[in-house]
Amino acid sequence: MSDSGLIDKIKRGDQQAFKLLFDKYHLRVFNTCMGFLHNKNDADDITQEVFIEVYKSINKFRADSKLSTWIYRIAVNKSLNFIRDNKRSKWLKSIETILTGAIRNDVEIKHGSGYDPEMILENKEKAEMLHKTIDSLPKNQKIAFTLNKYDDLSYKQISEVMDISLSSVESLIHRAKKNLQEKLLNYYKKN
Amino acid sequence: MNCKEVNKNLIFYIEKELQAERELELQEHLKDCHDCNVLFLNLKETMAIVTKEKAAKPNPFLFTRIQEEISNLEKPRKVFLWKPNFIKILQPVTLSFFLLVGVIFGISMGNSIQYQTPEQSMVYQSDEFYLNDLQQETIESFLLTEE
Repeated sequence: MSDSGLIDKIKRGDQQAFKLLFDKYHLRVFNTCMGFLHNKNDADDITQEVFIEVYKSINKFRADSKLSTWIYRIAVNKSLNFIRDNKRSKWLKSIETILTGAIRNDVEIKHGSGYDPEMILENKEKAEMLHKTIDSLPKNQKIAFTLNKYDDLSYKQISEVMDISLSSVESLIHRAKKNLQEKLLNYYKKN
Repeated sequence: MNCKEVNKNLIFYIEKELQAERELELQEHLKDCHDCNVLFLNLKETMAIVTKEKAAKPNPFLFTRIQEEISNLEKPRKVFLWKPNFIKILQPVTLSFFLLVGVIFGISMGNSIQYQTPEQSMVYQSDEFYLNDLQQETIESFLLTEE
């Protein structure tokens, strides 16, 4: 079913159509949230909020842009708002890392790093460093890089989501990669 | 290509965004330079974490959670029109009442304390017992002189 057909049905209160929309977009939304939040539980919560927002605001959607672009924009804004509003103290975060660390480790174990504890620890450190470095990027570089790397969006799609030119997207992603490289290499040289 | 140039282009080499000629030059350098090769491997492993994170799956009950949340939104909420006004009035009234009780209690406590005149306190002090009532003979001297 086409997006416009789905929208019409959802506007009429068709739950089945909303389920189809969810099935079509929820993985992409979840990946976007993971790219910004780096935490499975937070990504789940924000994905939930995104779809509730979609359901509530579908009547306001005027189809000026594609449905996917609109949903990505909601996901990006919700994720950035979550980061901004998230004022949890460091000790609370560290407790959460201990509790949710197992989930991240599961992902790492499942995907090739074996069961070597030293390797797992090293991977965890590298993941933390990568997250810190991505988080430290300027806002637009972070959005462009995340949409490109975590969602495999093309430069054209990113330009639509961010409402900027194609050349700006190219420039943002190039600078984001250079910044990432510089910060990560400095970290490796120090350690 | 020297180490500085290699370090500037490693991420683009990993992402396969370099021109073929530059890619070959970089590959040749990595074969000979141990330090650059270590940095390359570290960076490659770190960037691969993104792929691992992309493999994470959302909660399988996510749609059920969303449905529940939506049905809660659609339920008509019972609105007690009198409640906000009631709270608005009750809060300051309760606060004022407890403040008043506190002040009255403080005043009555202050009044209940009876101050003694200097003469009264002298008499009282003379009745007190000293802690060390056996000053004539200390325990040390008692033990020493026992035999």
